[in-house]
Amino acid sequence: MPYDRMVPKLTVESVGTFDVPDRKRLVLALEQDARIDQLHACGGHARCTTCRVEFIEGEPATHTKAEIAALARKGVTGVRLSCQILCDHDMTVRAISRLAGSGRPDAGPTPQPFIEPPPEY
Amino acid sequence: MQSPSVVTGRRIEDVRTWQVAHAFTQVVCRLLKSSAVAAADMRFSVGLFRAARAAEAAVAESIRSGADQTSARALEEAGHQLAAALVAIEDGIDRGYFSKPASQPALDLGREAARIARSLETYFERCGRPRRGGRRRLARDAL
Repeated sequence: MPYDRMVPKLTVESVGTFDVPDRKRLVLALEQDARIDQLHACGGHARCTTCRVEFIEGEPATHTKAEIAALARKGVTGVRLSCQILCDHDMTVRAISRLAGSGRPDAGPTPQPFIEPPPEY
Repeated sequence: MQSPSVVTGRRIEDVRTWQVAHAFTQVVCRLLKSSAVAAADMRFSVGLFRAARAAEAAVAESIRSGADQTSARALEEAGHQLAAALVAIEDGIDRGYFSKPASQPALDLGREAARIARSLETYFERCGRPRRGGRRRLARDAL
């Protein structure tokens, strides 16, 4: 496998394209690699849905049970929770939930490097 | 003891707008005291309390001043502070500091205070403008 196949590329609309470590949580990639002010108010536990993003390309086919439950509870469709997604392939997203303009004091507690709660698909 | 409003001569405590804003501050205090995690997050809890307290103070200022445009500006400030407090409560729910049912009374009161402040602000902005075939609106009519 060529080297570049092991380095997923994350493209954030209107921001740029970034190399991301394989299987890094998308919410962390947005914050640390793309350096955008992505919200994650609950700290990446799939509770608040503030880490939501819209996928333009490369949307993962699988959903964790926690993601499905959280989106259903909030009645939100057409978005995915970046805290429940690992960057294991190239993807293009639109960041729709940012700290700027939210009125919140900060983006939220830093999420752990692994998916919480333990993912069930 | 608050000073009486120069507009109506009534005490500020007797004005409905202030009562709702004051009740909101008290509910916010109770909410913060009910969550040890929220109280430990000083940035969050101080921000929420300050917003609620500032809204109450701005409402009091609007009643006390009696000048229509000054009242409107104070109520605009109250509206901003109430909006900030409501966002902070929603943020607290998202962070897991409060449950949605526990926060509901604060959310309801905050929205009610914001609604009253907004309608009063609109009224005060129109005060002083002559009405067709009628007398001018007076700030005291609204209080």
